Amino acid sequence: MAAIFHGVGAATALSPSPSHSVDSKKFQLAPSRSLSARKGRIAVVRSDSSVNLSLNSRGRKDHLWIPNAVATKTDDSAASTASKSGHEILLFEALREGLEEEMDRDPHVCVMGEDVGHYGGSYKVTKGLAEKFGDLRVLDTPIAENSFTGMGIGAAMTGLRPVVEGMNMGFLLLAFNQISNNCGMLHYTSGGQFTIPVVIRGPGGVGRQLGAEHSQRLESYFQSIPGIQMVACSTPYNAKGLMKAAIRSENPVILFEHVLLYNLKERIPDEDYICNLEEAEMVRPGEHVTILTYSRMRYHVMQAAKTLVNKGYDPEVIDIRSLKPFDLYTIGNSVKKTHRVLIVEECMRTGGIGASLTAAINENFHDYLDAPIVCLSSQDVPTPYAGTLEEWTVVQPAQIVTAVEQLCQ
Amino acid sequence: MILGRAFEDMCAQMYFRGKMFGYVHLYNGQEAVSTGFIKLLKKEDSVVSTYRGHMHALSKGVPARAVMSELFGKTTRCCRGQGGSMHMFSREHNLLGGFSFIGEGIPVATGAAFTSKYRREVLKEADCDHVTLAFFGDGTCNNGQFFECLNMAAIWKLPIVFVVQNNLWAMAMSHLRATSDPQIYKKGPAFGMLGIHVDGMDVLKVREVAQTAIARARSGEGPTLVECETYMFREHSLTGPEELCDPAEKAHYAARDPIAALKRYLIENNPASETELKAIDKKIEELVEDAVEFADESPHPPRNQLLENVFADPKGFGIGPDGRYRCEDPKFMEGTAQCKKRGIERGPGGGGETPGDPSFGEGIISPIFESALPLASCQFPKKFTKYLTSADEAHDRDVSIHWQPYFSLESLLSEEPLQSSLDLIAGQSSSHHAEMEKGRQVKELKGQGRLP
Repeated sequence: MAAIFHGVGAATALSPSPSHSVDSKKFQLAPSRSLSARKGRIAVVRSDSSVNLSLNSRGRKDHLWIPNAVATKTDDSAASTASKSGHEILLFEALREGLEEEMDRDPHVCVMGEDVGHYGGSYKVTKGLAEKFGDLRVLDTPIAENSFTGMGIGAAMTGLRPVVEGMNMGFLLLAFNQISNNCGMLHYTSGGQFTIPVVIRGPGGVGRQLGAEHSQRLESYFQSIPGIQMVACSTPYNAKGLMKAAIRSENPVILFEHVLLYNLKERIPDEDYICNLEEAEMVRPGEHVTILTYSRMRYHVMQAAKTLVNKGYDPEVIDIRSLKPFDLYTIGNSVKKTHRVLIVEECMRTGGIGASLTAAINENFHDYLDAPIVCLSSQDVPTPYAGTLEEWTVVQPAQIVTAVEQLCQ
Repeated sequence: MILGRAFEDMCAQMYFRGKMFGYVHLYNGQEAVSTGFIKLLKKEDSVVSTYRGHMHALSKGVPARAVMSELFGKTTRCCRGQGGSMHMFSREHNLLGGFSFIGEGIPVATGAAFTSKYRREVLKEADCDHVTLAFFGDGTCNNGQFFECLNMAAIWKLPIVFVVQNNLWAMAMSHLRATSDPQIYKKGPAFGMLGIHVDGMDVLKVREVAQTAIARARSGEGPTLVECETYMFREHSLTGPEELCDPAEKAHYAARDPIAALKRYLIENNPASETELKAIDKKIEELVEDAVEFADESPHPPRNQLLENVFADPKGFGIGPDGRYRCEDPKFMEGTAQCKKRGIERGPGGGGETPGDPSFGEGIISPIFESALPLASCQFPKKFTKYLTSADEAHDRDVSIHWQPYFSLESLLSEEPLQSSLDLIAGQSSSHHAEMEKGRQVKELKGQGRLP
């Protein structure tokens, strides 16, 4: 039962100096390619387990998948010479592309949120969609998160497939009632009669001095809600793929985006593809230590990885992508190989995704660990406004390097 | 209306006989509102209700059998025993719930109305004129979701009717103490929609108003807010019989019983005679008895229903350590996945060693507890399994082994001292804790009349 991953090129170094405008943070990423793409075949659409193809092929007849593609270290450099197909795109544009393609494909898909229509979205993810699809399909709502999320749920129960945008993830705290009680539980309490194929998405995470309330990480609050899935995107490739998969899924999915990642640039395939909602992504295979991360911290980890490689360590970096449920297979295989785990996350120390992940790994793979799991999380403080303080609340690459060195002693 | 009244009375009886538990809210006295509105709807129209929703379900066409067996927690409809009294759903009859938090259903109703408009304008289903009715009480009218939805329904002219069942009491809070302007129908024009006040104890008046409101919605003129002045003849819920309302107020409304009023009207104006009405009464009685019998005979949900329907697509349970999707493991889905001595394989099933094992405590077993028990497996002392797995109606509750032990009626009547799980952990043989708990439960059951 081979694990299949599509290789993703390592990120080049982050610019260490905090710049004040998000636009100046443009990252060149090596294109994502799999082995088979290098041979000139159609690009990998998603990684797939070799077991029970019948289950995975449901509703995905449009896509090709490569049954055996394993990322290797040489993938990074070789991949850049890969086929010229595909197009360069920024992450927010990738999200828009995904959304637009799904709206074209299925007329039941609609968007609701504040300023998504005429304004095009506060991060321009829905720019141009209202002109194309009309005001009812890209609905500008009043500022009433609880109610319009509930409206999205009611619409989902009666046959539509809404994508609800929270202008900032933090605002969804106002919609917690609807998300927990209705989104998560309704399928169950109705005995399976009603499905809620809603996607709730929005930017979260610590930005550039946005203040405490705009810098919240809601994944830790939502993770206990039964009946929902949570995914976090980190590259344009997986942003588009996860957006499309989330829209096509019958389950309610919460898609976490990050405010600082919207301007990442990457070359993505032209073809239709989706990313599996329950799988993690192998970013960099290695031997010495498993580093589990997601969203923006992936880039801090990759920056630290460069330093670590220079110092002679070989970290394996996995972007867990699926925050609920965890992909225990990918993670487990990695733990069994390296026997050391470092979790790097942006959530708070208390009760965050890292805490759950630590528990899950301890329960399932305790025998394979040579050292206690180290979890690097943000400080348990409301994110301060001051730039220096803000820098100290989140995990920085230097801390990651130190942690790995300590772990590997 | 008669069905509703008879049904609710039977619910009360069944509750006190121990057939159903939890919060049950009865609709006696307000039947005119439900009947007056819902009987005018088509099958495709949607109804959203609150926790006081049995009658709405019955009016919309959900069979009495299905509702009763849902209340008994049995697996035969309508929500397979997973929803209970406060969560009645029916896709077939477009009953969208059943919500326990007040105000929670109003946005859902707005969403259903939005779908109707979407179908007509975007999907070009020209004949789609489905209307949604949202029922809620006076207490809800002070909740933010109510106002937010009035606003949204008005700006988009959604085909929805907001029906307020103003029975003057939000549990123990008088409407007059809670609301700055108690005339709820006036809040409609504040949002640009029609607001109507009607006597909710008279089904014919309600019906007239309902016709206007529903016609408005169907023609695309927009939402309406209808305030029905009504009253509850029973207490707020069966778990809390204390009331703060004045007996004179109760008597005043009892004199305006909607069923009695309609009976009088029919007999005086001759559309029906006494005998015909008596025949209806009898028929309903039989129907309700049949519903109870059906519910009684229906099976309890089996263990493997626990994890069904958590996700519409069960891949949402994720990928297990062996690389397969969790949902592909039949033991996981039954909740009886293997529990190893060391390192419990996670999935909520942490139970016994073989499928069908009457073990208990999936996900609740903690390693500490396991090691305290002088047992080789995750089984519990025979005494406990008897209590926990008996099909006796008294055991239809969830038992958490970490908290107080739950004793069967049989054991409570016996004289032998019982051990609680906590004492087992602490290594004590007899228990002060168990005796205290036993005393408490005896007292409670005597109060309910279930023990001599």
